[in-house]
Amino acid sequence: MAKLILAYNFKDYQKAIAYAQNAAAYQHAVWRTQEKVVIGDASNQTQFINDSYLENYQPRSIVCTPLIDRGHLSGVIYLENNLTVDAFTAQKLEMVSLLSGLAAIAIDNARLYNSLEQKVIERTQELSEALENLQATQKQLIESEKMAALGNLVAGVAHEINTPVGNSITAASTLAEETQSFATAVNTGQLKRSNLNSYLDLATEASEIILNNLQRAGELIQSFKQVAVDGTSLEKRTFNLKSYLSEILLTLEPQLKKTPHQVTVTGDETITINSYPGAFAQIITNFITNSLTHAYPTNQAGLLQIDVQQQSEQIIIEYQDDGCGIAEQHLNNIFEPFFTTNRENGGSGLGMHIVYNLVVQKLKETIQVKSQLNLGTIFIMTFPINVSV
Amino acid sequence: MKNQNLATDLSDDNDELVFSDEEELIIDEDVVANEENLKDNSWKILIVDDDNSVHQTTKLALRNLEFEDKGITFLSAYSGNEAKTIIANNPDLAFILLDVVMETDNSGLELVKYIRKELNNQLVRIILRTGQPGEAPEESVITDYDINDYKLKVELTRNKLIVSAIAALRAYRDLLAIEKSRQEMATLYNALATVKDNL
Repeated sequence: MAKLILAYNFKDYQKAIAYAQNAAAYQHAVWRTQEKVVIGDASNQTQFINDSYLENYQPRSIVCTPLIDRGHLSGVIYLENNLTVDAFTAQKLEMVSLLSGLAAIAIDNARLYNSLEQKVIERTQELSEALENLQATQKQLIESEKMAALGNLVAGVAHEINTPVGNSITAASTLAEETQSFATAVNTGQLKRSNLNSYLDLATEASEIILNNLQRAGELIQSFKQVAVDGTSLEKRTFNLKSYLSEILLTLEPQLKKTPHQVTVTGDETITINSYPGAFAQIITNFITNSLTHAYPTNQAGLLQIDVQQQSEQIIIEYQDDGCGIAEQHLNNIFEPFFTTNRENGGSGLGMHIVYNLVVQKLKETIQVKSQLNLGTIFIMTFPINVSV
Repeated sequence: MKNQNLATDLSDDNDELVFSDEEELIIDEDVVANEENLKDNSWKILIVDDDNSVHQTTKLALRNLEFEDKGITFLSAYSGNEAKTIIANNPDLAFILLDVVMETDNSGLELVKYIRKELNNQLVRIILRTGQPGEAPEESVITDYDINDYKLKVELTRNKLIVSAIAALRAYRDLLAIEKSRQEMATLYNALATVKDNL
C-alpha cells in the first residue's frame, strides 16, 4: 500500500517518516470502509481512543481520505494539522477530494505502467526462448532429413551390392566344386574328353560371372563411398565435375531403376573444380528425388537432364525435367524451409531448402529456378571457376 | 571333334594328356538322346529376378541337377508381372526362385499372394531369395506369406542352392502324389455315389 504523507513543516516531516511504517488506526479504518474520515478536533474525537500516535503527537485536525479510481482503492491520503482544530474547511476538503481523485488515477497509472514494463520484459524473454527452440528444432529436422536420405541411400546400395556378391558366391562355389571333381577325375585317370570340355565351358562362364559381378560391386562401393563420405564430412577436394555427377547417378540407380524415367548427364568433360563434392551429391539427389516424387503422375516416363558448361570464368550447371512444372505463385517459395505442396505424400518441404543453403552458403553459388506448368522445371546454378572458399 | 582312343597311362612322365577309353559317337548320341528325354521328362522351375546375372548364375549352378532321373528345365521372368503370366500358363511348375525387390520394393511378396490366392496354386514350392534383408525380414516373411524357404543371396553357395532345390523337388513330388490320390478318391467317391443313386 502506497503511503502519501503530507507534512506541514519540517519537524512534522521527521515525525511523519518516523511513524510511516506503523499504520494508524484511522488509516486502517479508511482503508477498510473506503470512506473519508474527517476529524475536526482530534483531542475530542471518540472514534480512535487509545491510539498511541494520537497520544504522542497530538495532531489537532485530521483528514484521511481514500484514493479511489474506478471503484478500486489504491491508497489513502492522510492530512493533519497540529496547530489548529477544524483546520480543514469545506473548501479545503473539496480540494483534497479533487486532488485525491487525481492522485488515485496517477498512482494507478504508474502502477500499471510499471507492471506493463515488467510484462513486456517477460514476454520478450519467452518469445526469444521460443525462437531459439524453434531454430534448434529446425536445424535438427534438417539434420534428420539428411540422415534419412543417407539411410535410404545405404539401404538401396546394400541391396544393389548383395545381388552381385551373391551371384559371385554361387558362381565361385560352383566353380570350386566342379574343379574338385575335375581334379579327382584327372588324378584317378577317369578323365573323359567330354568332361574336359564341359569343365572348360563351366570354368569360362563362372569366371566371367564372378569377374563381372565383383567389378560391379566394386564400382558401386566406390561411388557410394564418395557420395556418402562426401555427404557427411563435406570435405573439399578437386574432382572432375561431369564424372562425379555420373557417379552420383550410379548411387541413385536403385531408385531410378524402378521408374520409367531416363537421366542423362551431358556437357564439358574437361571441367575440374576444387569444391565440395558432397554438396553436389546432396543437391543433385534432392533435385532428382523431387522430380521423381512430384513432377510426374504415375507411369509417365520423363527425361531428367543434367548439363555442365563453362562460360568464360563461370561454370553453369543446369538440371531440368519435363514434368508438370511448378506453379508461378510457388516459384518464390520453394526454397523456404517446410514449404511443400505435397505434404500428404510425405513431402517435408526441406529438400529445396537444404539445396538452397548448400548452394548459397557452402558453394557460394547462385541458383535460379524457372518453370512452366506441364512443360517442366529447370534449375540453373552458376559459380565462378576460381571460387576461393 | 575327333577323339583318339588312347590307352590310360597313370604315369605322368609325359606331357601329353591321356584320356580314358570312350566310345565317342555313341556317347554323343546318348547325350543328345538324354537331353531330349530330359526336356520331355524334367522338372520345370522358374527363376524370377530383374537382374540377368542371377538367371545366368542359377542356371550355371543347377545345370546338372537330377532328381529321380529327371533333369531341370529353366524358365525365366524378369519382373513380377512377367512372372504372373508365366506361372498362370505353367501350372506344373515344381518350384520358383523368387527375388523380393523388383519393380517395386515388395514385388516378390505381392507375387506370392497372387500365386496362392488368385491362381490358387498351392503345389508349387516358393523359395524367396533376397539381396536386402531389411525389406523382408526372415521371421515375419516366412510366417505371413505362404512361402516354403527363405534365403539371402549372399549365403547361397552352390551347395546350399542344390540342397534347397532338392528339398523343394521332394516336397513337390510328395504333394503331387497326395493330390493324385485325392483326385482318385474323388473319382471313386463320385462313382460310388452314382452307384448308390442307381440302387
